[in-house]
Amino acid sequence: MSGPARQALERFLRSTSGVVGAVLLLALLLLAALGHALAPQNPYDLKALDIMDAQMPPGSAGLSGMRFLLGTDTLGRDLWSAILYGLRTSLVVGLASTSLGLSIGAGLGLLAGWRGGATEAVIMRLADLQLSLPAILVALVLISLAGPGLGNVILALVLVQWAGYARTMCGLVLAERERDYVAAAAGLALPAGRIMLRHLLPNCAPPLIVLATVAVGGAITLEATLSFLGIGLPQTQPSLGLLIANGFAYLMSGAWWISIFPGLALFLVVLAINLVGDALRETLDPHEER
Amino acid sequence: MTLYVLRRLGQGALLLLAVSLIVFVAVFAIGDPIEILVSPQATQVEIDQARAALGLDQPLWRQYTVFLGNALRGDLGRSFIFREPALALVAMRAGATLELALAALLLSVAIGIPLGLLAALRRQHWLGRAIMVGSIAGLSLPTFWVGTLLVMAFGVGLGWLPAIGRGETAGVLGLQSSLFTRDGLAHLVLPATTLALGNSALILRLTRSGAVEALRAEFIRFARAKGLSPRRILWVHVLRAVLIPLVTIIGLEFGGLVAFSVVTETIFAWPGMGKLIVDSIGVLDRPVIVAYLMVVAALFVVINLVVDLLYRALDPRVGGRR
Repeated sequence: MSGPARQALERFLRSTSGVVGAVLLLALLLLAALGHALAPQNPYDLKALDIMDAQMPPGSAGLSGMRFLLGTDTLGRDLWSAILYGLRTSLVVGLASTSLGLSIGAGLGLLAGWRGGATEAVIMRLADLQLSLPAILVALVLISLAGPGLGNVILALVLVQWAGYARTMCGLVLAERERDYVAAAAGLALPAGRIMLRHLLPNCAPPLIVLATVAVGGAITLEATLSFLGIGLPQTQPSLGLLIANGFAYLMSGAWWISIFPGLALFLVVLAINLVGDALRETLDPHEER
Repeated sequence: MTLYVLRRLGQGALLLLAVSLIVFVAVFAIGDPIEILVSPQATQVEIDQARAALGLDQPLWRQYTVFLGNALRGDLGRSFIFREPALALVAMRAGATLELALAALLLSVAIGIPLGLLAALRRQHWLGRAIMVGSIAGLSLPTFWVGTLLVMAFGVGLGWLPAIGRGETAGVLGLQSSLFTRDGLAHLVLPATTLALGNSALILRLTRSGAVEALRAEFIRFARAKGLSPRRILWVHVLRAVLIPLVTIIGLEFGGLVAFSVVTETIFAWPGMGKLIVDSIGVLDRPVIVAYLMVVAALFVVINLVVDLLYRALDPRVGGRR
């Protein structure tokens, strides 16, 4: 590992909350990856469910003798299995939308900062327009146009995210452009694409990495929120937001666990991501001194 | 200064124009409202009549120019469902939303700033660290889940606070609000707390980082050397330095709170415009959706302008640079 990266890693490891977050995140990623193998049942296969098992409290045994560690929901679904499935959806949606949004946003920001002039004006005014409307509204309108569904939710999350990266990237490039190493690269008559991707991008990366890390958590929360409102993922797809919404509808009947456990899972994922993001900010940003 | 305000207002108007175009075209693409509006037994003639009556038979650009002309006169169309002016519908419910957002904002400032200052003063101490970790937890809690938990705990379980609706309102100076009655305030506690949670964590973190920076600054060292009391240094000098950047964020967050009340209002059945928009999207009530988005965008323009002016008033360094 090269010098700066190793130093960054060493500094990261000194942050207790960062390490706790990283361990928690790794554990959750592992659970999500192995979820389908670990789950006692396939909660989205209606044939595997028995309506007689509906709303069983945590720890009780079902008709088939299966034990429901975290109880069951109103369809007789094992919550632990449903959470494992939902966790995977959350992470896939968060990671996919963030990497797409980051690529598009950083790319446009890089172009805007490097070209300047009309290119910068157009891209940045578009970003301003996007940022002037709150994320939840943009997502709400887009979903109501395109309809619910996994692809459209990801599309909405990308649309919500790109402008933030573009604005940050453009600002960074505008500052970096004046530095000597860029002048040197330009003096060597390197192609613009190479200067942008090989010289400017790595030097602008740290703040973007921090931004994107935290954004994964934001995207996961937003997906769950949309699904909770009934305009995110369809009922047939595993989603923590939908599980919480179903639990909320049956709150009055005293089945508290249906809402609590999926919410706890959602909270832990976002918490782990934010802890890592916060530690990364301190690690990668030399201005932040403890 | 006047020139600056005028220029900003011009920019705001342009932004609203752009939003209106996007929203109009976007909202137009949502299904065909006629299918919902007429009864299933309606004949083709009746359908065509309804279409013509609503102006839906015109080409899209024609509908937009008509819409824009009417919008300038304050008419954003009639709700397909309620048969009332859409703008009036939104405006009628805006009060409840603004009151909720305002309560949440006050709450998050009241929690965020003192805790943020404390975290800055005790940043090496376990207390300061605990506050910071707690703030990350606060940022990570999904709003809608916290809402359901609060309903569960205080509304259903303990029965201490009402969890549904807005409660009694009273008029003060012609302003109907539940801020003025005991019952209304009781109804406000749970939704406002839900809405304020993430925001207070954000304000806390910004206050802390601003205060840490200020505490190291030359002017604070000077104030200490002058023998000012620590309390005065903190609440006058440090706070002032912290407030300048914070004003921007608080302003922008207010807009975010208004938008995010969509979720809170749904959970607590709060009769605000957030609930209205969710219901309207469900039934494709186009004029109401457009009116809501235009009102929120206009609100954002006004907030941004006020924040900028406030920023200039607080920080004399800003104005000169332009």
